[in-house]
Amino acid sequence: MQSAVMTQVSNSRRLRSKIQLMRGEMDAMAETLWNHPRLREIYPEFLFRNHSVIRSSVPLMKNAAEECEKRLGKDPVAEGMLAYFRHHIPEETGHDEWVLDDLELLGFRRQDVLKRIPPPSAAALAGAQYYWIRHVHPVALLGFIAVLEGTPPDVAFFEATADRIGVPRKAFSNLLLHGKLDPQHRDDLDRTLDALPLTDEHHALMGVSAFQTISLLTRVASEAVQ
Amino acid sequence: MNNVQRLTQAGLILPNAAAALNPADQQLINSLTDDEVSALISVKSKLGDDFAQRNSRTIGIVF
Repeated sequence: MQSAVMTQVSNSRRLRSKIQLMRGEMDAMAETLWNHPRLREIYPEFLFRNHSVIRSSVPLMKNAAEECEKRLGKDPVAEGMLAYFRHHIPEETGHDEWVLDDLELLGFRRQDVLKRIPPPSAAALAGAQYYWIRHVHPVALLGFIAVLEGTPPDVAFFEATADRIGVPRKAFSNLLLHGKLDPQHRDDLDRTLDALPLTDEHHALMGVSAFQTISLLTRVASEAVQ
Repeated sequence: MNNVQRLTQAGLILPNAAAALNPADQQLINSLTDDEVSALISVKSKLGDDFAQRNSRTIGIVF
């Protein structure tokens, strides 16, 4: 049962409050990762894991858009979500290539990266979203996106991090470019959420999806540090 | 049993953190649905004893 207070706040605030509530372990892992004494050594493995996830961004949105199309006229949130995905898919297209560019600069050939089997944790992270989209409701993907785009990379911090570990800033292009783009993307998602006629059931599903995303994202990153 | 008590019993909120929860966080946690609480328990995500600390840096895996 939802409290009256939570139904009075905006849709975006309601989702982001839940994410904020349980992101402690993920934040702790972020601190461990980015301050790790062997970050230079770990960074390529981290990029590989990042690629394993980011390669699913556009396909996931395409899947969600297809589900929305099927629901047009029957589901009050389908039209607004479809408009969001149609706008966001071109914006995200090719970002997986940025990670491959960074890896290539560090001496890892694209074909070798693409030949590696992605970690099961990354498959579980993205794979769960295919399940939610196909078998439950595509609104779940908004919980996933809210987590991944919700804390844009701090450009100054990652430039300093690259300098500190002696890696060319160009090999941080994925994080630096997302640092510039994601504040706008986060705000676009919030505007979309706030305009959708979301029910308590939609909110609960986005919450479940966001919680699972935080947990698996933390695992994906933690495995790079091990 | 409310959500704070459920999550404390499941070991996801440490007892000292539960006792120190501010009213807004308490209200937010108790507003979660049963499905959301079950999801938290399922993924075993500890809310920790410092989740009121709002200092977030990206983990770096982006969309």
